[in-house]
Amino acid sequence: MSGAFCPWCGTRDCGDCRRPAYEAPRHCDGCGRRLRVTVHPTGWETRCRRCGTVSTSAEAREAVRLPEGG
Amino acid sequence: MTAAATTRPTGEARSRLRAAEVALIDERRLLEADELRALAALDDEQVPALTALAHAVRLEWCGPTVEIEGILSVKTGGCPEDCHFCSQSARFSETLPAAPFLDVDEVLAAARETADTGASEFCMVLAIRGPDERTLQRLISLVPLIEAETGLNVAVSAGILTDDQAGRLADGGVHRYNHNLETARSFFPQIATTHTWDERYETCLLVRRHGMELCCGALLGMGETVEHRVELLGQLQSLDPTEVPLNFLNPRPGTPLQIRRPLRPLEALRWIALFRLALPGVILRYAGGREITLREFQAMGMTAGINALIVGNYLTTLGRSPDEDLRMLDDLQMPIGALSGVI
Repeated sequence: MSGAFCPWCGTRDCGDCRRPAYEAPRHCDGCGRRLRVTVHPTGWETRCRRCGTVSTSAEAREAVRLPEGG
Repeated sequence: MTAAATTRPTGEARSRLRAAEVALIDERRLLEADELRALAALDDEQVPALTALAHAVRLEWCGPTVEIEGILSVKTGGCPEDCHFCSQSARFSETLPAAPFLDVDEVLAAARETADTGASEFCMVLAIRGPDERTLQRLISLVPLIEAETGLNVAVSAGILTDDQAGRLADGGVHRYNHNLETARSFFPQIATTHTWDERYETCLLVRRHGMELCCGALLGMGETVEHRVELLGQLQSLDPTEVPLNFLNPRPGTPLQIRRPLRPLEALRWIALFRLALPGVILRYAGGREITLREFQAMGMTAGINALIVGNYLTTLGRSPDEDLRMLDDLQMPIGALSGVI
C-alpha cells in the first residue's frame, strides 16, 4: 500500500489518517475508489473495480514483517 | 462524604445482589423488570460484585464450557434496509459497495478456517431484507456441503422470513437461525424505519416454531436508555432464544450513528452481567464491537456471564486473532465445546 491515495479516507496524499484498529483498507491506494472488501474469519481481501487490484491480509502481514530493505 | 453515606448504598447493593442470587440459584426463576432495574442502578463500584454474581449464575445454569463460532458475510452491502448502525445499507453515503453472493469455494474455505479454530458453529450472514427464492436455494444447498466438509453446525442469518422459508431452512438442516431484535421495541423506530420491530419478532417466532435454534441478539450503545435495555431484556425473555449475541456499537463511517461513542468498558461489563442475570440459561456470545469497547477488559467479560465467542473477523470489520481468544480461554481454564439452550 504505497499509492497516492489514502486507503482509509480515499483522498490523495492525505497523510493525516492513522490506520483504524480492526479495519481492512476501504479505498484503493491507486485511484481512491471505494474497495469491494471480503472479510473472512481469519483474513480479508480487497478488490478495486476500477484498477482491478487485489490485495489480501496475508500480503499486508508480510509487508509489515518484511519492510523494504529489511 | 460521610461514613453513613458510603455504607448505606453498599448495604442496599448487597441486598439487591443477594435477592438476585436467591432468585436465580436457589429458586431458579427468571428476574423480573423491577429486579433488573434495581441491579442496573447499582453504582460503578458494585460492578465487580455484579459480574461475580453473573459468573456464578452462568456456571450454575450453563457450566464452564465456551462455544466458539465463526461468521461470514456471504452477501455484503447493498442492503435496502436503513438500520442506522449498519455500514451495509445502500441508503447511506460512504457505506460498503455491494458484492455478489460468494462462490461455494469461498464459503467452504471460510468454514474450514472456522473449524480450524476449534469452533462448533459457522454462520452465513446476508445483508438483505429477506431471502428471494434463488438466495434461499443457494443457502439450502450450502448447508450439507459445509457440514460434510467441516462437521460444523450451520447457522444462517438472512433477514425476515416467511413461514414457508423458515420451514424450508429447518428442513434443509439449518441448525440455528440468527435474527436480532437489536434493541427494545419502543426504541426501534429511532434505529430503523424500513421494517418494524414486530416483523423481526415475528421471524423469531417462526424460527422457533419450525424447530431451529433461535439466535437473537442485541446491539448496545445506540443511544438507548437503561429503561430501553431493561425492556429489551424482558422481550428477549419472552422469546426464549437459545443464543443471544451481544454486540457493542462500533460507529461506522457514513452511517447515522457514526457520531456516537463506544460504550465505556465498565458499562459494557455491567450489561454483560445484566444480560446473564436476565437470561441465565442462554448462550451469551461476545460479538461485534467487543475489541474497541472492552479493550483490555476482554477476559473480564468471560467472568461476567459470557459463555460463547465469535472468533476471528466479523462481517465487515476485523476482530482480534483467534489465537488471542484461544489463549484467553486456556488461561481462564474454560473448556471449548458445543452448547445448547438449557432454560
